[in-house]
Amino acid sequence: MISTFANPHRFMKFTQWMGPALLGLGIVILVWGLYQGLVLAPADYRQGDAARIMFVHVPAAMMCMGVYAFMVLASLSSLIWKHALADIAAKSAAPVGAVFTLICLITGSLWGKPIWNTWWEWDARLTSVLVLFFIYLGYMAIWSALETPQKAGRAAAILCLVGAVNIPIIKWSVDWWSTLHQQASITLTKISLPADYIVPLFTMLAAYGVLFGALVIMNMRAEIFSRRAEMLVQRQYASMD
Amino acid sequence: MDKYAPYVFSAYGVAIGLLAATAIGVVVRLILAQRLLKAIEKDQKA
Repeated sequence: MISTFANPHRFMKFTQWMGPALLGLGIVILVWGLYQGLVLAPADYRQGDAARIMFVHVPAAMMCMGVYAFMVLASLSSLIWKHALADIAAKSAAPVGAVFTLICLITGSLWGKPIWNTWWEWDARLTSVLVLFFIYLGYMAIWSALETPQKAGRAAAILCLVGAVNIPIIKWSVDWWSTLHQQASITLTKISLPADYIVPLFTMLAAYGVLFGALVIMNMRAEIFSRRAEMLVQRQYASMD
Repeated sequence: MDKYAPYVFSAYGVAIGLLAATAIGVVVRLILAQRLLKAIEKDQKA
């Protein structure tokens, strides 16, 4: 299936309505998730209403690592199999991943102030997420700095693979070091959250996931249009010489 | 809402605002890129 859509022509045909449709669906799920988080979920017995920040913060944290994992797979495909759309997919995902990381950092800070009595602490979890944000920025800077998409794609893919070392550090930082940030409440084997919190949390995660899909598809389409336009202009200049 | 309401609403506002700004940016970029390509194709046919 992936190789079928690796053809840009087929991809453009298939995704013509998919981006706006996913964007609409994502907005609907987001509104439902926000309503659950702000209204339906009860206040926590210790943290009070501050616990509601969890519903925007935790899914953003999951997404910032998930988007990076997506970029690593796309970069690998680009470097190894030279998939036509792989570097476009990674490039298109980067700004969305950076936004999720920024949401995670800012909402975490807004949660930290009332609960930890500090906006920021240089502990391993917070610092490694900040490093991830800078990696996203560096990745986007490489795409802007290098002249041809081939050169930029290769350099950005290598940076992406090197930066992947930060993902397990983020994930296990709370286990490896003594941190102010609490340990994971959700793992593959257990969820230590009340049932009232699980539904809004996963609704928001679904909303973020669908929005990510929509934005990446639309960004990829924009990139393909731009490259076609650039190619046509270059051909015109070449024919004039 | 208790005394933490300003933090809660700020966090939700930041999340919605950043997502909305990103979505608007991506949609505008897509529309502009599509229009540019069409204009170049039209220009080259003429």
